Amino acid sequence: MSEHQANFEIISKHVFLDKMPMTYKCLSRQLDITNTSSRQLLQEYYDQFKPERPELSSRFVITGKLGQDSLVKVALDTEVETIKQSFDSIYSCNIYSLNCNDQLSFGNITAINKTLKSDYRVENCQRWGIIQCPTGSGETIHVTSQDTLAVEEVKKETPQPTSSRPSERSSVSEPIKPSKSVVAKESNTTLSSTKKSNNAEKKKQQNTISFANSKRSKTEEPKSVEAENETKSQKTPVEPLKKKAKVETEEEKTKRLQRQEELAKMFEDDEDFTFDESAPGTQKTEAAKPESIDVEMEDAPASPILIEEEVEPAKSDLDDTPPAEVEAPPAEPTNESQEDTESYYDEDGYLVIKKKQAPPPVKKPAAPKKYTVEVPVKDKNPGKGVKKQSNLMSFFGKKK
Amino acid sequence: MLEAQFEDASLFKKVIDSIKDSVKLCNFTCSQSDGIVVQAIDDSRVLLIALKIDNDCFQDFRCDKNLVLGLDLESLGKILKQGNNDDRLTLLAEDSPDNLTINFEDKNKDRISEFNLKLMDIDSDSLSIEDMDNDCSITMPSNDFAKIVRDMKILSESLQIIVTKDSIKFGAEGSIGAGKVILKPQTNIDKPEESVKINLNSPVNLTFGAKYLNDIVKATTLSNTVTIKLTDKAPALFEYSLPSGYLRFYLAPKFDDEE
Repeated sequence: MSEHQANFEIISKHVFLDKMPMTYKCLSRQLDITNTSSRQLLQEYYDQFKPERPELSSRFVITGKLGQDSLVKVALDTEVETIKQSFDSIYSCNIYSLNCNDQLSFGNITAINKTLKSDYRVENCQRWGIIQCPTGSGETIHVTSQDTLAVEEVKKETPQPTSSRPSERSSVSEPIKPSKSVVAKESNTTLSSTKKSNNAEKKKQQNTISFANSKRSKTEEPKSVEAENETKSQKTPVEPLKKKAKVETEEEKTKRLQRQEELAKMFEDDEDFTFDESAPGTQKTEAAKPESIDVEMEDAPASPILIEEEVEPAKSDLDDTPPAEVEAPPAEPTNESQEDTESYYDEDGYLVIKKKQAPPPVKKPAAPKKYTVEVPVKDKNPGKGVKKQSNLMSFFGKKK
Repeated sequence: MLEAQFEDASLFKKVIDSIKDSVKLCNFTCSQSDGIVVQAIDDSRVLLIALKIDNDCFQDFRCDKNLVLGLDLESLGKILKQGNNDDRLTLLAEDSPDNLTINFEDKNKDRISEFNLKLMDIDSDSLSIEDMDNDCSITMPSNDFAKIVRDMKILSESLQIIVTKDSIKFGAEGSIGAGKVILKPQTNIDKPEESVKINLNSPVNLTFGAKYLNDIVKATTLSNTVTIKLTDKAPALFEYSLPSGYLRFYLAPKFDDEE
């Protein structure tokens, strides 16, 4: 029997024989694996056995943004899609628990977490994704942001057992649990991180910010900005949870705005830079048509792969042209530039456009001359130069 | 007191219409001996207008004291438009006038229109224009001259006039092309006003600004003929005759830079 099957057996026994709910935390502690792995395991189990066992029920934790607020909702498997649609944007959607009874309240499900063993050694905390916070007893903790939070250094001067009193909160705590009021709402319940539980044990758990930890679980998901924000906020461990949640929201907002701006800029660049839209395989085809590429590339001044050479001679050529030629049709300079440029791809794959320095007599094509309009010369007379208007005062004197 | 009455308003209306685009403000000098005399120069001092309306042009003319009436020709033109061409026009002014009274009297109806035009103090110097010896003098139909000027203005801002003993050549060359009109002297006994006469002392070749010529030919309605007197390197004289008097335009020519 493989390890995978063994784990499935454990879950099956726990859920169907013992009739107990199985949360990812519970599984993580039981199998001594990371929260991410336990969620994966639960998800695989659910996907595999749900068709066979219709009584198998699951809860999902969905985090997302609704308006200006970031919300966490717990939903039954049957309601996940509905809940997702109620969000403006979804940060994460992870499985939370499995149980064999649909009617089991969320409070009963979370109660299983209370039975977990509390061997909060550094390596365990690191594996389980538990955040350690300093206490007033002078502990120094440095937390780094990795896929799983790594506690680099913990110096305990007075290794005391955790206390339920706020002033002596434990430096090591479990992830947050929902309050009773939230539990009562069961599925469509919004978990507010600011709510305080009356239970002393829950207070201790609230002191942690592992609720945010639940969002950054799945390894398949790319590192989201939100996860980074969570990690950053975790670096300020002394602050209470309420403040942290607020900071997270603001940071998320600013980060998201920045990201949106960057994306918008990228799209703008894409519009101008039509070459990007083509598939890489078509580059050869476009290289065979250097003229069309030239026009497009010249329109995209910010294009990073455009390398122009010998620009200065072209400018001086323009300066030499008489002002009358400026009034020529706009297509004229484009054709001229197309004729005088040569493009190729260098070793690094950059498009290089070389402008040939055409000899002065060649730079005036014959055809556009038809459209050039000479600047009207004032007072031009046949066979004469420019005439100057004289003044009558030089001929007639004033009467006295 | 000035009391000058035209049998028809049309003459005075035409005179004012002919010069109001060239000069805006001018002094009308009124005297019993000379009638109404005007000398005005345009702002660029290229075109000078000399108008003389003798007593004979008026049905009645009385000027007890020499008067100088400073008039805004644009305003005067607006008032003159209120009367019909065949109305009897009377100009009235006191000895020390502040206003010029303009009366229109309809001959057919018993209707009299009276307008007052405020006078202005216009500071202007009179130029002494002596009779010059001309190199050549041309008399030609004013309509023909007006047409040539307007046609050539399309081609260029300058009009060249070359007069030889047997022809007058008007030429213009511009960005779109060149054109020329050659007139030869001819005498029409039946219609003397359509004759082209050249009195030549020496050939001339002068160039004038087309826009000034365009202003000059606005006086075409005053006379069937125009007399052009040209002198080398001197202002040209374009004269339109009145029934008694004249409207003269003195136009400075254009020279080459080196001249």
